Amino acid sequence: MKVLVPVKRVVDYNVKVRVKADGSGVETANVKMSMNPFDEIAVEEAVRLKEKGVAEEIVAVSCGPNAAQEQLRTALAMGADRGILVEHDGVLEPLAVAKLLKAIVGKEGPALVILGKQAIDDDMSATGQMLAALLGWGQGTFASRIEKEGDALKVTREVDGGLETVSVKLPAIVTADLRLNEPRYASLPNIMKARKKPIETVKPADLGVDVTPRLRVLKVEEPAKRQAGRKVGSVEELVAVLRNEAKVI
Amino acid sequence: MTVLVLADHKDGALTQPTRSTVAAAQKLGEVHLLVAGEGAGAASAAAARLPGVAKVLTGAEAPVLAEPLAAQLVALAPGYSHLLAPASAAGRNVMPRVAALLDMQVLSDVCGVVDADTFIRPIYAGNALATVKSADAKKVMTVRATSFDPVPAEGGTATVEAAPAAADPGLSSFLGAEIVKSERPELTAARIVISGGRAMGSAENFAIIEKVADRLGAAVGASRAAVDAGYAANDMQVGQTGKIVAPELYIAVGISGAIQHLAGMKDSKVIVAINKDEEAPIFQVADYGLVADLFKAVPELEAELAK
Amino acid sequence: MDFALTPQHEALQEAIGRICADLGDEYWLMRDRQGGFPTELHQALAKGGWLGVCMPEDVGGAGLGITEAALMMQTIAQSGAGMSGASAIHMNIFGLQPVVVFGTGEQKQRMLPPLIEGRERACFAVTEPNTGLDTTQLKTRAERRGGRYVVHGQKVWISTAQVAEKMLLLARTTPAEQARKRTEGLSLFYTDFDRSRIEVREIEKMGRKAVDSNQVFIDGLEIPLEDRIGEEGQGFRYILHGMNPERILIAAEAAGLGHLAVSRAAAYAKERVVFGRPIGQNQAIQHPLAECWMELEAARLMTMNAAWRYDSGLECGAQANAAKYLAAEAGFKACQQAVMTHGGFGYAKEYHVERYLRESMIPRIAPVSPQLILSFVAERVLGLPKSY
Repeated sequence: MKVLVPVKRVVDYNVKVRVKADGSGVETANVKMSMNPFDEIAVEEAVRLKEKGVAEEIVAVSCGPNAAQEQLRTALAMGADRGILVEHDGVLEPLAVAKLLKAIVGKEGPALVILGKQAIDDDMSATGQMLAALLGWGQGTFASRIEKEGDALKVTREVDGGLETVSVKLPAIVTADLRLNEPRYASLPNIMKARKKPIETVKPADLGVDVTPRLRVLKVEEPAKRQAGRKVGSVEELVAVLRNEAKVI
Repeated sequence: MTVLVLADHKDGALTQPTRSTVAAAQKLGEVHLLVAGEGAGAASAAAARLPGVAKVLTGAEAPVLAEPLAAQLVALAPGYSHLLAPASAAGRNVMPRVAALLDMQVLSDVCGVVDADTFIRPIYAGNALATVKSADAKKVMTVRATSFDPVPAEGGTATVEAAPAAADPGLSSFLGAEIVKSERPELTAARIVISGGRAMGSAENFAIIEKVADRLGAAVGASRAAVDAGYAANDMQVGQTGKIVAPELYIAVGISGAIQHLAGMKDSKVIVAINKDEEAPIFQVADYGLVADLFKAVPELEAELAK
Repeated sequence: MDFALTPQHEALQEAIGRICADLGDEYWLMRDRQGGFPTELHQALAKGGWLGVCMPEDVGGAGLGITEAALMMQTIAQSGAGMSGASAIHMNIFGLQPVVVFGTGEQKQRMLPPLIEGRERACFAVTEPNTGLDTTQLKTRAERRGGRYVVHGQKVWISTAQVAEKMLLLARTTPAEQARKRTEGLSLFYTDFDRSRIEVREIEKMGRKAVDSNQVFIDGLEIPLEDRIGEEGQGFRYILHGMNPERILIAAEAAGLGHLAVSRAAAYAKERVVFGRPIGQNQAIQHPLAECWMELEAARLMTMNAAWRYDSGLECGAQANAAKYLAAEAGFKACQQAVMTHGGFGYAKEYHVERYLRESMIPRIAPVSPQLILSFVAERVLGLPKSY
């Protein structure tokens, strides 16, 4: 089967983001950008499926600016076979991305789409579920384990308080949680090979998708800072202040 | 305006995050609740007693699956201006699907209600707060429970009726669940949380934290480093990619205070940090810091609490 | 003129950075205390195919240049691994260049893949106790006896000889007085490190305990003919082939180590509060660190210039030597400044910078002294009379 893996270009998880002084957003100029970490897990899972002989071809897709080609190259270096860039410079909300991906799915015909469970920039955690809805496919979100069983996928999901297992008919959507796997580091031979793998570029208009945002950002601000408190000298003193001063025990 | 809240429930009671979501919903209009899943009947009775809830709709008594539940919410949607759910695993699973079926952009993790169209939500792991105005005809959203004080569990008398059945598209089936049984309170609902980090050194060493937890009636959490090292179960993880908690007292033991972890607990009312590294960033957010070896300080803490 | 890294270069730095990040400061501190080859780093790099960065593609390498190898070595040193990490693989990256250029097809297929795959490690047995940098005067003898050579002699400062499975050996096959030219009479071998005929004594040294340096005593080592690289008597010329790449890589490592020290010092200066403000707010702290950064960047650019010239087939002796000189001195100064920035804590092992300072002496001394570089530039670039 063919597997589609959408990947997002986001501010690197090690970067401490700064809110712009005018409150219009966060500073993204001259900031290190990387592939969304959950998407890396999604790519890794697809590559493992291919190594097991379950998947035949892996297509990585990124919706974003031209520079998102870098993230596609990273996916290709990890083992994806080819890339598609849906090039758009403005804001793309999860609903718009889901619509773009639906159009790509229509062209490519994958049996499985694996996405990261959430992007670490907008923290929406929505694109996979929205794509499943638009396609009328089943969804296995927050997956910590997947296994193909006949024409269905057995998905172990991380839920509050433990794990849940569902069987989802193929074609299906899976969103990757942190513990689905540990993504590999791109090897040098694979980085070399990735240079030669094709990346196709399309525009939202080519796909007939209206990507106009539904949300208007009125302002972005820093959360109230917590003030550092004080050090206590002993366990005895700690318990005393918790009892008498903070009155929480 | 009428608002529909999708309830999470457990053992015949609504979860605290659900009661917080009801509190958020009350800022928007009249509140109806949809209670679905195994134990929906008993939980509906509890839901009817929440103050400020006008109507409770009882869904099917069967394990919850995203596809049929989304179909049911879409069928109910014409009667509502807003559809809310707690930002729990369940809510985050179904609400984006509902939004897409309605051709709307979901709002995840809402932590503030400005008006009927305008909401505040965290981005970049809570390092920024965005105020966004939705142009959609209805709003579909999940609510960050720690940002709204929950409504009391008792005091209301809502009517209870069966929710109209919706067809199951048959896209998935439920195979089973492994839910960790614990005598301690749920992490997200506990009044006190005590968490251990990688410095705990082993799963066995968490016992010293558990003893303190039992003295205080607290829930036990862990940092991602401790979970990754195999010292604690996945569902104990507090942080950006785990549980978001905001108890009255949060005790961080041997946790350095990575941004990842702070994102999950910095809204706690009182934070205590116990760490032998004086420079650990956790002290920058702690109200009370104790620089000490945890293997000495935690047993001492238990003994002191016993006095 | 384009100073930008390509996306491929960035991918290389990212991947190497991640491999190194798995080890961390505590690992290198432990290695510095206890010694022991950093097998974890060597194996992780081998697994990712990184040891073959500038080896030909037909033997399993990536066929990239010294530019990429230099970026890689800088990234390793700068990650916190310092010279302990860099020296552990340095030789394996470029050392077999003579085999690549002068070896037969059979030799390349036999010798290079095990090195690239990390199954074998090589040491570089050239320098001797009584010849120093005057390489043409080597005394170690390899006598031809039928289908093999028998070797007797001593080598010194042979890194990784405690753990290596192979060695690249330069030995005299024609007595100096019988050789046609000073630069002839030496032959190059790549052969098994046969410990039944070789005694290795570790040299206790100032830093970089993880990567051993040794005296090596060779007594009757037998080398089959097929392990000789190229023609008999031409070994010195073959060895010269690797000298400029080696200087370039050492320069990259020194710049990486220096940048590591400066970033650690800057981070400390931001956090350390004395007299009610971070010490980094004081110009006496700021300015020396800014100066170190500028010098390191200048040295790094000279290094990349030399690498680019080498990869473009241009003469690069002056640039490679200049890069090694500048980066080594800038790296040393940066490490020293990092210790001073930390004050008393800079002298404590757990703050890591004292380790960097001890390691920063290596690129100053090896593989060629700063004085000899100055003499080289004076003579070859400025046309001044030879002084030695």
